[in-house]
Amino acid sequence: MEDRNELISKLKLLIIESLQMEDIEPAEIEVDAPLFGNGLGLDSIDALELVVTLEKEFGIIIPDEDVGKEAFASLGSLADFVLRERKDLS
Amino acid sequence: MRFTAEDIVKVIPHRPPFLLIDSVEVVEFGKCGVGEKELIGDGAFGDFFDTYLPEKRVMPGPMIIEAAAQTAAFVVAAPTANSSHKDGDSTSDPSTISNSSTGQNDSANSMGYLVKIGSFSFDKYAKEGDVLSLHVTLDTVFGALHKFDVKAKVSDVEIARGSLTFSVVSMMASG
Repeated sequence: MEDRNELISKLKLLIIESLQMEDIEPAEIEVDAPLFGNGLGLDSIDALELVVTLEKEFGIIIPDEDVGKEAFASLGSLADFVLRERKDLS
Repeated sequence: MRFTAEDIVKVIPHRPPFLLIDSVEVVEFGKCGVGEKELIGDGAFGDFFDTYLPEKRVMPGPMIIEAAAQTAAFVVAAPTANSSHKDGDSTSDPSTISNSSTGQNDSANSMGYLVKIGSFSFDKYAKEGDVLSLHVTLDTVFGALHKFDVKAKVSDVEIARGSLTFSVVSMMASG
């Protein structure tokens, strides 16, 4: 089973690639900082791109904004969400 | 169901010469459709052909994107036929078009506003005399945001592809 830290590293690269954030280094994305607003500064359109990426990479569907708010609260919460959903899928 | 320009202007606000689609075949309301534009040298298209790469007489790429955006906006907001519409009659009659009261299209009475153009690529021209078709398919919905995959074709040959994201706003709610 994929280690949480490995998943966090993978998610950082996916975020940078899918949102074309070439000026951001993976180390700059803090695990517990908010992804939106004052944290990484993502917006709702970025959230849609992350929804698309999660479905393509992991087969995980985020059905609505409420689930999205929980999953996208921070990188750490996103990793926990992916781990939980993948467990349910297997 | 096929909709004519007369139907289209009842749903989206664009008007000639900036209405860039002649018709839309809605394959699945709210999700999938094909817009068409005959590229004839009149009106705005006369201007495009005369002033944009005039020796090639082609439709500018950004206008192809706009035509696709108008197609997707119509697919999102297109009215469904009312119950009196007969099976097998694939051409819409404006008098038989209802709005969302049938409940068949959750997005009807909505308007999609383009908020993102994603990674378009072009590898062939759409030239004067061609019939351009814009194939739009809903990929993902998240809240109000609707992301469409787009393929532009001429004579069934793909000439461009990309994605468009809309924020879909209920016109009922906004009055």
